[in-house]
Amino acid sequence: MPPTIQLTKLCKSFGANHAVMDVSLEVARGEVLGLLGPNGAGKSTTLYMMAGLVRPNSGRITLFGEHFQHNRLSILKRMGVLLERPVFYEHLTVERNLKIHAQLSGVEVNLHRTLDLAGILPLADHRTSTLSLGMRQRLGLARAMVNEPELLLLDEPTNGLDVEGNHELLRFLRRLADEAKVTILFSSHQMHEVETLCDRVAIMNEGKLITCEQTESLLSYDQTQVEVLLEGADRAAKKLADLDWVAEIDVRPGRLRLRLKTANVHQLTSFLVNNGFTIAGIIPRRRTLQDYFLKVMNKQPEGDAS
Amino acid sequence: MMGRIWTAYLVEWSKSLRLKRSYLWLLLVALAIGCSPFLRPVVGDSVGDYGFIAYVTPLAMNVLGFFLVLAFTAGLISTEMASGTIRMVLTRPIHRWEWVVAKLMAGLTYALIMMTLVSILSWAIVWVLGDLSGVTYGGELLSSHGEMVSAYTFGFFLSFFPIAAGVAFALAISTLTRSPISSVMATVGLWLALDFLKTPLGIDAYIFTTYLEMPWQHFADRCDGIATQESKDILHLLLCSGTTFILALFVAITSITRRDFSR
Amino acid sequence: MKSLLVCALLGGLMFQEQEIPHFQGAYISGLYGGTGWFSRHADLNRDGQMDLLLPERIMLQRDKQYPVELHIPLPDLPDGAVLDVWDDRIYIKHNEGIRCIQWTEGTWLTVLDQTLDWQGRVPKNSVAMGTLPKPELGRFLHDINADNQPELIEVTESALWAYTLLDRQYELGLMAPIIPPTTLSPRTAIQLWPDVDRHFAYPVREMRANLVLEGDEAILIQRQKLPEQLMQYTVTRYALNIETGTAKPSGEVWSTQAVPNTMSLRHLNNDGILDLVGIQQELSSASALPAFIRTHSTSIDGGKSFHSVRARVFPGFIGHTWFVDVNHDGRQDRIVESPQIFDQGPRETITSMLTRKKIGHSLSVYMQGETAFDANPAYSLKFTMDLSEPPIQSGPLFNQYIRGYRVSLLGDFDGDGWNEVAVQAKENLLELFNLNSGELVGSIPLKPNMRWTVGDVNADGLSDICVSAGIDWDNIGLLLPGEKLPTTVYFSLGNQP
Repeated sequence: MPPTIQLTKLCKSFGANHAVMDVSLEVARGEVLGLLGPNGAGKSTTLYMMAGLVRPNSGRITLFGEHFQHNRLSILKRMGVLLERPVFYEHLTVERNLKIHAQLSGVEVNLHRTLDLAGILPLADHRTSTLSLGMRQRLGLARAMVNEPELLLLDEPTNGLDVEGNHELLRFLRRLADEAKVTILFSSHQMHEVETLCDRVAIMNEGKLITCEQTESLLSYDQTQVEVLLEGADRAAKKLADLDWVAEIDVRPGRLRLRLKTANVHQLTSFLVNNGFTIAGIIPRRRTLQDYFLKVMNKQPEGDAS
Repeated sequence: MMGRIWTAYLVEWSKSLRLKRSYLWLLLVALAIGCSPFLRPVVGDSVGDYGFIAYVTPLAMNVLGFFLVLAFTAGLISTEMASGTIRMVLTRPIHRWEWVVAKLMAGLTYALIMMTLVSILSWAIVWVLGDLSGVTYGGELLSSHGEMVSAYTFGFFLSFFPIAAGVAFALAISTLTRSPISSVMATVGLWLALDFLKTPLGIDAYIFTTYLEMPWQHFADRCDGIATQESKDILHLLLCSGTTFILALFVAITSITRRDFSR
Repeated sequence: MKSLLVCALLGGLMFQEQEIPHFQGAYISGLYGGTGWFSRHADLNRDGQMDLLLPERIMLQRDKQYPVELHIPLPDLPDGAVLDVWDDRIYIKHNEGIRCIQWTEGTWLTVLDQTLDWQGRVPKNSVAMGTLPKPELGRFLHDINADNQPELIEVTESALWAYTLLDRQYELGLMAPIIPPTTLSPRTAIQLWPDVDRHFAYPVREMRANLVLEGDEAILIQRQKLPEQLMQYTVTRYALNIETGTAKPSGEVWSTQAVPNTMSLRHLNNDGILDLVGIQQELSSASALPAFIRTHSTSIDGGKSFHSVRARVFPGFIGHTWFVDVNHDGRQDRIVESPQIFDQGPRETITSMLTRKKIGHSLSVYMQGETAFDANPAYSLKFTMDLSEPPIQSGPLFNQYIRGYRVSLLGDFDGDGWNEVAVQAKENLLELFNLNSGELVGSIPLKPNMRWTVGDVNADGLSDICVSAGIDWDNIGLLLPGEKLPTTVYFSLGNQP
């Protein structure tokens, strides 16, 4: 089965500004890809190109195995899009806005069910101009979902959502990917959302795709950074301070935070036991996406796009 | 394709029907026609009363009505661009040109509604207050009521062509500006500029506005007992309006299809 | 004298140009056209060529022109003299009697100089305050008894008087009391309110009749007002007998139908029935602008049926011509002219008035058939009149145009039996279009601010063009060409190989 999203050497410039340069990417069916990057990195432009709003200067967009430019309509039919700050026909009601979208998508659906899923059914008769930011975001999501898409392009979808709404949305999207095999391209500034939701993470900067990794591999345990729970932390710290394989020690009541020069937890355990300390537990520190992001952004080698 | 255009057209209408200004402008025209008997009384003789229709129709349709139709159409696309809703629409499975055609159809429908309103009201006023028994001069029946109705119907049919050209013109301007106000101002401004410059520049025969009132004028000629119906003028009207319509539509479609709609 | 050949720019129509001092050509008479002349034709020196009689001089023709050396002043004339011509003799009617002179062997020969006690006053021509009345051309000669000697005709309020030549002296030969009494003019009604406008008016009486002499018949045409703005013409014929000095009714009294009071009588053909023509002007019922609709009505069957043509015109528009025998078949054909500026609707008309420097002019010719006028025009010509300025500015060219000085249908320049229409579409060019073919047959250049008229000046059967300068076009409606204006006549030589 071909990947749902296949971007090949995608380029887009706005005058002298190279918004997207040579981006190549593949996303499998049912996969959730998080798109990260600082402002102006080219994330939105990439999404806009995939949504058919911006024409690439070069490169190729293949969605569902079909060339986007040549099969625009059939692709758009299978796609849902939520762009940052969704806009609506303000003089129309929530339901009418959704209906218009459904009509333009060429589908007949139970609008109330969709509104219910988005949690805005009670607002069906309200004008969109009266909606709060969070409710507008929910309506935007409902709109993106109205044609039951196989591919969702979501640009900052949780903007304005409260904690509960945020949580619900992420859970809902995960379920979509797992159960309905919906492919999701998820652009956000919120690292924890990407961490929670995405199978893979792609990081863009200055129009280039810097890296694209499995989220799980980025979030593995770091054996060089451990937290040791024990009694006599102060004493232990003094003993450990003289060792050349210990790089850094942070003493807290009942625990030590250590950074080892090598990932040798066994050596640490033996040393503490041999010196009479009773270890209640050793917890290796888990890496965060933010760590990885900062690391990648700081160490970004020139010209390295993959 | 037709299905998508039709759907988009229905969507346009469902949106326009919920805009207050759509009704307000029609009401404004209706009010102008309703007040016109005070300016130009319906005298109760058949000649003058057909003349009332010929007096009211071009004023209400080709001056006030046409302005409002242009304003309506000029806002159709620029409003979507200004608010950003165009991005939502263009991510739906519809070709951009199909969407432009649907917009054009919405503008044409509004023009048609305006024309129908003007026609119905002006005839209704004379029907209630006046005499519709044909045009008679010196005891000689020059045109029967049926002939006058036919002449008006023909004028109605013919006048739709330059108005359609105007709608396409406004739509083209609408695609070139990003604000509804500047779009309306540009459309009306260009219309007036064209009207005042076309003759000094010697291009009046090629500008569609020259032919806006011509179809009604043939009806007016009948009211005045003048037979001036000339197929050459009609041919010019059709050619000029048709060319403008096609060119404007081409500009509108090209402008929309070649544009990037980024943030 | 300057004489040269002017070749038409297109075609073979040629003109010979001559500047003729004191000659004034024609003028437009009446609101709806018609042309009057300041001269009369007569073969005064009996050389077979038509000479010109002007109020103060004669111009003898030589080789189709009127050389200055053959311009001969008339002898001193009494004040208020009226001139008429019969064959080669010029009759001068004055307060004291009648004088007849003849140009013979290079000098003026007085053939007759007789005192006559006229029944009424000799009508004086209109004079400006403080100036002496000038001689003018008039009509008072008519040969009733077919003896080739004209009778002197005088019409007074009470009768028609004819003086006949008996033993080389004119004596009263006929007194025909056929003139109807005058009636009080309705225009003498006194306005009583408002006070400031209240005044007493002298009662004015008017003659509602016309008299026409045909051979030994006097035809009295009386107008009778009827209700609802209608009127009726009654024609009574009287046989005049100089020998018995009586006038007896002959034939039946003939009346028209009741016709609109805008109709007047005219001869449009030779069927013996008087014809009716009329123009009515009213505001367009259908226009938001002050466009006028001019209804041209004609009846050639005494008012039983009418042929009406309606045209939209400028306020104050004067068509130069109205009825012209276009194809020289003896029947006057109808010309309807219309400026094409009110034919685009109110908005476009306003735009045109403000910006358009050229306006269309349409001219339709309705031919008179055996029994009626054709319902549809046989010819419709359209011209684009150059105005140099938009109509709103009311410039000289616009004024010339709306007063009918830029289109004329009077001339057959090439002698093909069809009139040409002369059109000054551009300021500096006069073009001639044949009405039969619609083709441009010739043109002559014009200098700016020139006024032109058309007519057969040398009576050779080909129309000529008279061009004079110096008219104040802004006040053209008030002016007739002045006597001192130089006039250049372009004598048509017809089509030259």
